[in-house]
Amino acid sequence: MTDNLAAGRRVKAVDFTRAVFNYSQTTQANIADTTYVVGDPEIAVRFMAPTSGRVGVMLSAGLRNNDATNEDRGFVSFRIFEGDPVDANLIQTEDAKNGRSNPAQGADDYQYGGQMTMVDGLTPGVWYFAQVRHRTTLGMSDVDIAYRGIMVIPVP
Amino acid sequence: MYGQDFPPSQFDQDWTQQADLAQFGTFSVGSPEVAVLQVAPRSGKIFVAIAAGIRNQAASPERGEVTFHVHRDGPDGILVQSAFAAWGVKSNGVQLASQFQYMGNFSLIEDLDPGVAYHFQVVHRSVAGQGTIDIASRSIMTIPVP
Repeated sequence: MTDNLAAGRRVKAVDFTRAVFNYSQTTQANIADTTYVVGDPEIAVRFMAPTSGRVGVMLSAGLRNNDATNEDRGFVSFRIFEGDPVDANLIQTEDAKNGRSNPAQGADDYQYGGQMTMVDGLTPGVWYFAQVRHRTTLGMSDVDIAYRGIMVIPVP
Repeated sequence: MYGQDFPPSQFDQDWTQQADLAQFGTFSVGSPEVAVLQVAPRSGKIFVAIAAGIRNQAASPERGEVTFHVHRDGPDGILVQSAFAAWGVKSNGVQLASQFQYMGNFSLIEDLDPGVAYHFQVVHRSVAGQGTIDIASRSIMTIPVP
């Protein structure tokens, strides 16, 4: 059961589990996928839910569409499993609103930025697995991703 | 758990425009400096949030980058984290932009020595040095995390 750590309540170290971060600069080039894929290498973190059952998830990416003839867009987002992915206990699917996308066609260079969201209702003390995935809207093989990163921080 | 496990968070921001950037290759600090002095918590981990507003006024695909670097003890101390563009914000070369685009990004600096003060300093550069990139705002926030 989650606990909101009300004023005056004794705080324990376990109330704040460890922050975790994983990233890669390996370019995902000429993406043709229109459904979410993991990418290579996989960017993911394993984290334990704090007493509050809430974590902040920060997702970062650098994307571009370097073709001037179409408006294909790339999306980088994340999903969360309880336990391991092999257990297939998916508790949150990818949502474009929680990730990053490229803003324009014909972009010569990557645009780097980040997006943050809060995930709540997690079970304290349970391990979760947050995994970055990406897709394009049109699959025109013109979207590239230069950087993918994810960070999970326990919050009160 | 003790108070020293979570030293105070820090924030600095400035709206002085950095106009017509010709600096490229190496990063520059800008004027005024935007920086914080953050004491590392027991975990040795500090969350960093960077934000900036960037535009390119020219009819050429110039880009600007705003990120940070970290020195131990102060700005003249040992460099423990060099500037990494992917941990900051970067414009994508949109041309003839009359308005600034404001963006943010996040990263986690790990393996810092608990109790030691680290100087997180915002830096910027243009990619091609064409003198057409402007930066409207620069900010940095650091938060000690478990």
